[in-house]
Amino acid sequence: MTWLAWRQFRAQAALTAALAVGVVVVLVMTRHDLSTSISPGAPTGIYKLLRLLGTGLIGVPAFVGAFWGAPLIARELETGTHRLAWTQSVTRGTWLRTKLAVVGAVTVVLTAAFSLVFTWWSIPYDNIDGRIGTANFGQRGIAPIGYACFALALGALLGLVLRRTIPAMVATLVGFFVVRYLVQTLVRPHLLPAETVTRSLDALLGAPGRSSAASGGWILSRSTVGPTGARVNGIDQALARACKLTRADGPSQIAACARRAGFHEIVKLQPADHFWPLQAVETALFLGFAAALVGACFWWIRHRAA
Amino acid sequence: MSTNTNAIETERLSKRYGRRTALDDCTVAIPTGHVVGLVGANGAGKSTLLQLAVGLLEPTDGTITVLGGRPGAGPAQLARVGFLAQDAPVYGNLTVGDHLQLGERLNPGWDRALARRRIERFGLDPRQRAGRLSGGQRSQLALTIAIGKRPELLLLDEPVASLDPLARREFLADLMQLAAEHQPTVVLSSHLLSDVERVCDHVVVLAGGRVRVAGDVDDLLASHKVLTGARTVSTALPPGQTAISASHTDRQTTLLIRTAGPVHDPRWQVSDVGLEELVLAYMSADVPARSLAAVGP
Amino acid sequence: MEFGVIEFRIDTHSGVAPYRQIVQQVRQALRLGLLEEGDQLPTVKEVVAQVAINPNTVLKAYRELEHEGLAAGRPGLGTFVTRSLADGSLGAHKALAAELGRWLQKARRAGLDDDSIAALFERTFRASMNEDVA
Repeated sequence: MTWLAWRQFRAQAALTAALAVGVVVVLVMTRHDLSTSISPGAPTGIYKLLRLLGTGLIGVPAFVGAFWGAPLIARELETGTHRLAWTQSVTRGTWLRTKLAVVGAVTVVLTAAFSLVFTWWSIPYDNIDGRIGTANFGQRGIAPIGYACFALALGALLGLVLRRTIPAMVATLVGFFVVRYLVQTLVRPHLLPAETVTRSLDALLGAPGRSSAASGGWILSRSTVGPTGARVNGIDQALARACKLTRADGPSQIAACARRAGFHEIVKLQPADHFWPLQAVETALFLGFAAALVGACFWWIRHRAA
Repeated sequence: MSTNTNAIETERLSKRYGRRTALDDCTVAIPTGHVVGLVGANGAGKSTLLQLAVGLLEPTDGTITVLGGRPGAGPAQLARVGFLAQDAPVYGNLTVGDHLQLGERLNPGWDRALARRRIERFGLDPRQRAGRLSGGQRSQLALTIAIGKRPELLLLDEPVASLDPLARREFLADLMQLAAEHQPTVVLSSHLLSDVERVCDHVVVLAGGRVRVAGDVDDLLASHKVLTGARTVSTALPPGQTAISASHTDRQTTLLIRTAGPVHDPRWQVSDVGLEELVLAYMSADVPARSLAAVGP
Repeated sequence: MEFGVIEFRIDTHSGVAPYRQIVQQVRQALRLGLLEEGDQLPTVKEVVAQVAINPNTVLKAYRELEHEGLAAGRPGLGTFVTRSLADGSLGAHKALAAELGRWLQKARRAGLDDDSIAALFERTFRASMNEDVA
């Protein structure tokens, strides 16, 4: 059965692998240049383009789900070849398991290679911008492997239930991005206990100063509090009242005023060193989703599909 | 050639798709060692019955036993039953050779020599993509896969419906040669009665999701007669005779009856019945299916 | 050895059971002298490959021929003709044919066209068959 699963999939796998190898080669070749020439601030030229390419990593799992997962079973149901495959001396459970295993293995290898190389390539940028924040987090580390497995399983199940390739592809894309978005906004902040940090208003007010404890972390919420510990909403007016500031005062004077008057900021955040633990938990979460969807596939193929 | 187990045995078998009933309370036993014709109009439930027998579908109610086992229960059961689905699906982007590989790798009892011989006989190029084959060639390829596993029971769902007359004839000739050589039990569904009459020695007639009649063709033909008489003759029949269909003109009455013995009533002119006439009578018969289903020799 | 001493044709619209058609065609061939004692009838495989009919049908026809004493099966070899019908029937055939010819002339003189003659023959033939059966 492995032979058949691979025979059906090898052309797509080869094409995608060739693409991935090309991308990896470009990333490896430009990495040295990048790490020596980088300066704080916006990337320029080719690096901007490459960074955009890396951002495309966010689409790789969606691609896997729509183009590998959705047609995996839907195309067979659509063309009737499942009646050929399921009537050989192999149960349809074995058939499904083998297909998912073959495509799943290629998915994991490709996503892992692409993601880890891009993570390494991005280190110079991430040292400046941080990588735990919402945009970068999903394009680094091992999380994309979890996303891809989830997308693949989602595509397979939707294909099995909807029985048509194109609707299954569309539903997979929509479903994948909805779940990714909901997890990112509603779930991920709570996957690990957030830290609360009290810091001066220097950063908020744009005054140059020592880098605070929040640097590189993923800030979930921030609020300004006054000397009494009460929340302050209009910080500019509050400071103006406290120190009799004039229009001529620059950020440094204002910041000094805030320190003197006892204003500070309370920040809730996931610190930078939570990156890998958070990656592990999020990956596990999506692998869990994938496992549940695969389980649903097996149930459906035994009891409902024909 | 035959063993004591039935090839297919159903007990009050029903299959519903949502609110549509495809098979309704079917009880039938199909013996081994025959080429069995499953006949009925489109939508009569032929395809549903075959797919239940190979385990592609699950019954809604009742039971179905195939060669003494539950359809699709495991690799061993699957290996015993060959299935050619309607329209002979094959993988369009795989080659003919790939399909033979598929058969070989997915079936422990694969007969490589038989499969090769068939492919050569039909002039199929192993390097050709299956998607480019003609309808007849595709059917032969799909049949080769179904046969190559050397099943005890071969189920064919409308195998010739999409073929031109020449390809149809070739397909049936080849199938009959196979039946003579390897002697599997063959169950084929068809709405082409002339084909069924040619190749089948046992028929099961389905109409409206029910089994109308089932039996050996010779037994059925021997136990049915056409009676023709004047319109005035009473259609009341003696015990042991049942009218299946009746038609009238102003002057004449024609009855198709099932009878246990010879008809002696001199008012009737008695003649033999052909299979086609008999099947058509049962397909359109408006009689309780249960009372007709069991016809013995 | 040459195959195909005789070729069968099966007409599924004739209303005659396929095995009967084979039996009739063998008898006809025996009468016409196309088959002689010792000839081998085509094997079951050859027949089904040629006319696409059920192998059991061919077996049944051959059993019927054996029953009538016209053929005998030799295990592993095939089925062979054991008796010819040509000699015995030929003379009677001639006389009958002449008689039938005279009858046909009479029928035409009586104003019957070909179809009517055929219908009349068919009806009389069936009626006499029914008498035999009853």
